[in-house]
Amino acid sequence: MSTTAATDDFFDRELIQEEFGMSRSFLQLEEELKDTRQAEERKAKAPDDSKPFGYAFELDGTIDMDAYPQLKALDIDLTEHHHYDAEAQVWSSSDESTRIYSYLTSCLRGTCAYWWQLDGVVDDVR
Amino acid sequence: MRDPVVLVLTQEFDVTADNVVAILNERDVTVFRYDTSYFPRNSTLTSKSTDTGWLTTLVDTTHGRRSLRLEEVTSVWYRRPTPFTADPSLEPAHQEFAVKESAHAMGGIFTALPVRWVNLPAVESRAHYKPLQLKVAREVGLRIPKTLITNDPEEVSRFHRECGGAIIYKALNSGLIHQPGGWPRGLLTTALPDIPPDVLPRVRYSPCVFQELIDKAYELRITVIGEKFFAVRVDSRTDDGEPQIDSRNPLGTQRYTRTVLPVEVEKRLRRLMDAFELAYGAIDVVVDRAGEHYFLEVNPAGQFAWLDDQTPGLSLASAMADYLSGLSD
Repeated sequence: MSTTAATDDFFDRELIQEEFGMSRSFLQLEEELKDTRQAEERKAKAPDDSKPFGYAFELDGTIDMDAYPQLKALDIDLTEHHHYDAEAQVWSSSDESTRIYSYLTSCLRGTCAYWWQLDGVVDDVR
Repeated sequence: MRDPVVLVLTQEFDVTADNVVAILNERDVTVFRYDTSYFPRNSTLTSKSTDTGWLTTLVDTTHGRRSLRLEEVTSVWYRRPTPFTADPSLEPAHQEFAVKESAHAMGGIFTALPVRWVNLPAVESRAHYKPLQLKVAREVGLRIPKTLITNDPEEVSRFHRECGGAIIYKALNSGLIHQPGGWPRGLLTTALPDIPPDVLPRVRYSPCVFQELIDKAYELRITVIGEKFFAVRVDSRTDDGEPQIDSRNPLGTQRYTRTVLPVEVEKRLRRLMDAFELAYGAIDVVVDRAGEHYFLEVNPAGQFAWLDDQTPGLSLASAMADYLSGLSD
């Protein structure tokens, strides 16, 4: 039974990739920052000895929690200007979008910034 | 020869794909960029058998109406498509059914196309497993670091002693630790000269990869596109000038320069790519101070936008555009 379930799961995932969620994160930044704060709090509450081995080591990458108020101060409508350009089939390269992109990149820390600057996805690690 | 029609399967935010799509646009190559999350909610897919073959049409209304005759596609770039999305008005169980059916319909129809794939999803899924990569690498004659994969703390202690404490730990999969709802954080490759006794038992919770720590001089990032190899030397240093354990550590400095692989190393890497049937791969290799090359891994969907930015004259995006449009093998 468990073998069958695992095989089904394998085939279902064959055409799709694990979702990193970067674009969602930046389009719904306020919500993302709130979720991140809550997740950090949950993690801090869990005792260390109940976490997998990898959690004991260098965990790098985070976002500046003050990013959203600062971003709002830029007075740019994220949903209007920072979006996918369906006609060109690439992410918008408008001046506003480039400005938002540059700003958001500066809010990221560590490998999170690395992934964002370098592509925003995850499997490319060792 | 038919005019190229390139289907790019990826999410909307994908810098690497953007660079290649922009080049294809400049060249007037027909590109249809599509994310599987549009299906079935915002798209229809119809495939009909006829006396002369199949007639398959994908119509998408996510951003206005557009359509694609799949039999006209000449290549598919399987980048970063995200999960299928069912009609939200359905019950969760019914949504799950719709999503599974979508995977089988689209997966079956797309992968039946007689086109150039970068890479075929089934091929990529298999190649993604690090333990398999290391096994195949050895079989094709590549040197790999001594490796232990386990969730048994006693085995880790034994391996640590065998290597004189010179070992590293890394994750088997992405190295990404994402608290639900929270911002993802990366797990860097970590040297373990000592393993705290209170931490060691936690190996039991999850399998880990441990490898001997190579006395690294520098790293190589080797991007393979079809038959072409693009090798870049990565010098990543700490503030003290020593090579970093993990070159992605943002605390150090990184320098990227194009280089040429030793002939024998390239031949063996070619065998590895062929063994996995990969058309594309981003390979990480460490070179020690004696000049020995150690294979670390191949990323079947690895990134390259950053490498183009960092390495003048590399032009991986252009090379990928060439390959997808049939200008190179």
